[in-house]
Amino acid sequence: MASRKKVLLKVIILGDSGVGKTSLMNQYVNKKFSTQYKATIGADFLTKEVMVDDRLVTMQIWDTAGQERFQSLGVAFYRGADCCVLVYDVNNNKSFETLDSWRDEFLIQASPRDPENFPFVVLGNKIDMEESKRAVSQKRAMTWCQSKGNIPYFETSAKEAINVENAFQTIAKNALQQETDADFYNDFPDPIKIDNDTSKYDSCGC
Amino acid sequence: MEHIETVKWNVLERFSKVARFSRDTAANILEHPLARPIVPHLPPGVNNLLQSDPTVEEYDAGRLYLAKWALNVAEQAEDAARLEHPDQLLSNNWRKRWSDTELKPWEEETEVGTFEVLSGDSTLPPLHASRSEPLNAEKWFSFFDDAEGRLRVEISEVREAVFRGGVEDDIRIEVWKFFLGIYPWDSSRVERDSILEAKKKEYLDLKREWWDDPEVQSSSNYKEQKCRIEKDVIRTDRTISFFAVEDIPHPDPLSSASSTLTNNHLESMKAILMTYNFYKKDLGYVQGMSDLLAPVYVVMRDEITAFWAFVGFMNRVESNFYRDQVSMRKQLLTLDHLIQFMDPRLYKHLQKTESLNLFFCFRWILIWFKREFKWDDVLYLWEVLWTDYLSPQFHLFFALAILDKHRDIIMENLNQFDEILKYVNELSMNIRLDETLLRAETLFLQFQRMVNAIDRKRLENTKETSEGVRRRKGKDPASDEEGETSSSSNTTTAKLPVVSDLLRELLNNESSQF
Repeated sequence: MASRKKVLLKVIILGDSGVGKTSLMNQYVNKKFSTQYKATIGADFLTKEVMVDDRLVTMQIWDTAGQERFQSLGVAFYRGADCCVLVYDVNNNKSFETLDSWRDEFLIQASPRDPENFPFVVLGNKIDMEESKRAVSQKRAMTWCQSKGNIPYFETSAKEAINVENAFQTIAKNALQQETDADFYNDFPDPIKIDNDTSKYDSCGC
Repeated sequence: MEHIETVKWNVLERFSKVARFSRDTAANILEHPLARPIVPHLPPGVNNLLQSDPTVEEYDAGRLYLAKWALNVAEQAEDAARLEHPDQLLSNNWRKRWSDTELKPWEEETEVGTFEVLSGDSTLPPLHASRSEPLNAEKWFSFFDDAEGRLRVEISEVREAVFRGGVEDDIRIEVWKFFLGIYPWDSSRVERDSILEAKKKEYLDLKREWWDDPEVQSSSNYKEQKCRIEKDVIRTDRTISFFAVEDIPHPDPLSSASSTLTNNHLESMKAILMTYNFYKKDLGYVQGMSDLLAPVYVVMRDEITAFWAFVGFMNRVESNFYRDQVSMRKQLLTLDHLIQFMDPRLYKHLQKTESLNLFFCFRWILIWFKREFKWDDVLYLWEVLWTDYLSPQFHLFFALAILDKHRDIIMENLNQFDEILKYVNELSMNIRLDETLLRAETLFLQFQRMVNAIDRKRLENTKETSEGVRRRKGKDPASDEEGETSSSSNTTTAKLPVVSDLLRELLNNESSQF
């Protein structure tokens, strides 16, 4: 009964504490929003079946704790990721500035075969807040994304479901592309384990 | 429709039994004429089980569904059985773990198996774990003398009482002050009053360090921590009435949350965590601490006492939050050893599924099962764990007990790390507390007995070997320290399970905290 190989796309959401990782995931998968999602401890994931380029695929979206010290035990689920979503809060400068470290950390821990071309997507969340609170301009964010190899960028609101569907369509598409490439390369190498450097950032994004 | 439900039930039941053997068998069942009309009514994941390529091992929602379903069936069966034979359930798993000839790693080549070593001694009484009613006010006050209000019984008696049943609501506030180190156990009533006075002053001094110091408040560290605390407090236990109300405006117009309303309890929580941030400068506030504070705050009902009670709790668990995460790793490793020692089959399965990082136990251990139980259960569980009655690390036996309960389901249904993680995460709010405590105690007693049996066996073998050596060599056995390991005849000892240092620490029942 062997049919065409089932596709499972593994997506990891990273970013500072409180930028809206859990909210984005829940808005996309369950079409729900709550201001009271508890701070994520450890990790969890949700799955959703989506059509990408006429293929039915399952997205497995991993939500992680935002405080960096808790990432060190999380290497287990970085493995085999097909796309990494970096989230920051547009009203919060610090959460934008730490995107670099989140990206580096992911590349070190997941050690994809072709780090230069590994698909990232950046989401600037909470655009529903009043304009006067905005701390990171769209231009600045896009410049950063361009400098990192043209990372696709979306401005979203998990609360008001703005651009969330759109962003995850791109995430799915790029993840599928990666999955296909990874097959070609025959899977990931074993990840290099790096001991936690105590000097690393441990940021809240404030 | 009722008919469909019944058949669906039957199909699923059979299906869950065979899914672990092969998908072919599963397909056979679903192709049975009776089952075919049911197929469209099955949950989507189950159908996928058949359509996917059996050689590709990937996360499968269908397996997860079956696992949860199997749990449901098992719990119903247990409930039924418990009514008839309340004592037998826990011993069943024990037999399953050890009497299975398929896997007893250290036993394969020995004549005297571990199981015999452990169970062969018929002189041992049966293990007996028990729970009792919560400690009530009358009993609690009877522990103290009238004149001075000093404890007049052994601390262990208090510990046992709380361990067995927790405490009733009306005395919780007093009992926790002892267990959380605000009151020394040997204090008198007068001493306790003066301790509270002193603590009050000390807290206000600590709080003043940041409360009205503009310089401190302008530092980037302060701002960052303030923001972090704020973000976490406003999403901690907001369904509890203390924290649900929003009746005052946000005190800080510059905060990113300034547009939201708050209440006095939320503001006290923030103040406590910020003061703790200054009290423990090297550690500071770390995510997860607000989860630990909330129940302590609600029980203590005021900022100052709650702060010191929280400090007492943190003294036990602060290393969970250290940046290097060494303590978390150590606890997970101890749990790893414990599983390997107590349930080699489950251990193998976790190994096979690359799940031995035990990441799915991380949340349990970091915040002491706070997210796994409803509010009242958390209060009860924590006070039980604080007693250190059997082991200062009883929380690891508690973790083992949860896994133990689900071991069959995990082994039969879940083949991937992510499936296990999801299954375990979804146990949240669905774990029976008293049953798990009973199971944890039984596991502890079994563990203790095994360690003793192994030590005894090792000692016997050493003696026999030494005597043998003495007979052969005719000299003092004390000079032959290598006797135990160098003896070729002594295979039993070599095959005994290793009791690692981490495991021995579990038996070190000296309450190091207070």
